[in-house]
Amino acid sequence: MSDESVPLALPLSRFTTDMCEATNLYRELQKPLLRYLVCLGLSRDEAQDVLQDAFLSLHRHLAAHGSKESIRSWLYRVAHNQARNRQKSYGRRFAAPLDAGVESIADHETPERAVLKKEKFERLGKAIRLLTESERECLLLRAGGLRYREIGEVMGISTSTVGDTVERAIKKLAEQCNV
Amino acid sequence: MCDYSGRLVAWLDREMQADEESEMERHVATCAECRNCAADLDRMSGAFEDYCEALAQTKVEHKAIRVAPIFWAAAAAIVLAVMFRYPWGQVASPMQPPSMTAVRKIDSSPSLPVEAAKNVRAPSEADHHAARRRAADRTGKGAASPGLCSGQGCAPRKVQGQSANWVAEEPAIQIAIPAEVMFPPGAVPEGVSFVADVSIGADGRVEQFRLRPLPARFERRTDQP
Repeated sequence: MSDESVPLALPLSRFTTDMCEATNLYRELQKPLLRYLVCLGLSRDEAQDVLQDAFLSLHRHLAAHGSKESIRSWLYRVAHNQARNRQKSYGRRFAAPLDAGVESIADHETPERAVLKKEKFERLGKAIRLLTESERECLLLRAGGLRYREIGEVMGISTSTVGDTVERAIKKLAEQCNV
Repeated sequence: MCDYSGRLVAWLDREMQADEESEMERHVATCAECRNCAADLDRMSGAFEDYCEALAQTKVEHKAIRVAPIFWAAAAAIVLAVMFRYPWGQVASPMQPPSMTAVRKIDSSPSLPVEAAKNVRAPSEADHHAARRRAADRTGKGAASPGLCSGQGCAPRKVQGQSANWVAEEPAIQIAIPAEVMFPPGAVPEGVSFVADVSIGADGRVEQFRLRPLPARFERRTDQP
């Protein structure tokens, strides 16, 4: 093998590895990230757009030999910032949909269970309204499967602060909902 | 309140160091209050995730494809194509007989009744000679060549029934339209059809459009030698 072929072979193998990693990340995070974006206040279509843009940014980041450390929190931060920018440009209040409440329950529920579930969600919606914005975001990111360290990286706060915030938020909800 | 109760969520989320976690497990196994509290917080976490999931499902938006603009655009495109296809596709001189394209189109239409198809006026010899007469009148050669139509059973004379301001530039197209297509049944006597004379300008636009009733019996008599 000549010396010239080595520099060509290395980026190709790295490119393949990066693409596999991006594909695995997409499979893992597509659903929770989409749910996170919808819960932040985007419509389903807007959330899909932001999701695609975020993974496009991921491809560019990997192609530019960007750091692979904390790639999940990096992806959430990119999506989070894009969602904020969209909401600013449309003049909407951030995190409004968590206030909006759940209008419909899944069709497979019996009517009695659907009514009970709806009442429970209404109580939960009222309790969520009492949370601060950082508490809501911490809970949303936690529901998306992020570790406390990753939540701290997305929000720019320390891990211990995330732990305290999550603990406080869950206990507030439990008190309000009388769980 | 128990001292360990402030770290229950972190313990449930497995966010503790290994030694802290084992210590917490030993405590929860012995403290009923922390055990119950941990169960409540775990339920609350699950309820919040269910709420987010239900919210995400609620906000599914179904974008209906707006059919109306597409439909009207397609209809307009078809009408324009039908209107402008024949003038652009044919270049006919005044001395050529009228094109049969439009007549054949109507004849071959399966939706027309049989009688309608019978009433479609085919270009006859008389049409051919009328066109030649009009061309001769315009160029002033009609009088100089009276034998233009000699031997064909017609004389050089003005066409009856045409208004003074109607001058067909070129009888390139004659579209025979059965009366049954345009009027309700019974509105027009049987056997009457209409001929549309269309004059196309240099820019491709329709300059004149004239609808002429045409009794079929009259046509049959003139067609016979």
